[in-house]
Amino acid sequence: MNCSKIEELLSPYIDGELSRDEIIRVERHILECKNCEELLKDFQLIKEKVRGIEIPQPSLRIKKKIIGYARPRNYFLRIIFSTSLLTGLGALLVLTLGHQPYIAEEKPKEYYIMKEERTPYMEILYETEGDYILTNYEGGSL
Amino acid sequence: MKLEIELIYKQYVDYIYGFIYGMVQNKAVAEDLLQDTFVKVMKSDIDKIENMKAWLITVARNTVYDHWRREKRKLNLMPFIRRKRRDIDLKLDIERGIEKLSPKLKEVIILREINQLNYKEIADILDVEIGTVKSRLNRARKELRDSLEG
Repeated sequence: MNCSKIEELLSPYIDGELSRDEIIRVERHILECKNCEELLKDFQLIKEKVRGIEIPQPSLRIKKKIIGYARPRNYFLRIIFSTSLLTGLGALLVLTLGHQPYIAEEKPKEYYIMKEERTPYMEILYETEGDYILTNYEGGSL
Repeated sequence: MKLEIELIYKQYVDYIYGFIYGMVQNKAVAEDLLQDTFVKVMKSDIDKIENMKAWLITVARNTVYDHWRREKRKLNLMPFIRRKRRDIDLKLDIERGIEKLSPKLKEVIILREINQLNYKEIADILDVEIGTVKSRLNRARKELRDSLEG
């Protein structure tokens, strides 16, 4: 059997995807052919190196975010959830307005949304002036 | 639903994240894409899924390809942008080699070595013949060998 046909079998050979007959064919050829033997060794080394790549764990923040997305689907629970949220926000608004004196002289602050472009190809770019509001990727404030 | 997503997360997060990280090789981007993948999962009718493992990888794969398409558009618009030096320096030779592979070769090597799927499973996910998986793996390994030597 010629080298090009054996080369095609080298990946399946190291991955344990060959039949018994094919394994015997590869091993016989390897005994006689230095080039294919070298290629096989290189493939095995590459396999080990790729398997050795350290995959980091996703952060706890992402886990919380993902689990947090799964809101209750039940319509009744949604109403309760929305009602409680609106009531809470309303109460907070009343309390805030009730305790803060109105300052007529104060110049209103201007806020700019700061967008962060984070890709493997880019520097992190910030182009803004004034006070910052940190945003998530959907544009909501954090 | 929340319980189902939590269970899917606990059971498959390493598997999905391993694939995404292997494909993009950047922790921040991989986390964003993991999040996007799970948003898609939540919007789907998961009760009808027969092979959850294969389906999740397909969703993650589509998410990665969508990301690359967006990046390509950005690169076309802003050709001056470049990768952070620190990211390049911290990578192992083999990671740099994988990064240079075409998406088709990259995904077979990741599915085989990181996700440890067999040829039949890879063929099913990529919707190709087993022979195609064999030849792509051979080409991927040859290109990795060349990049390590060079």
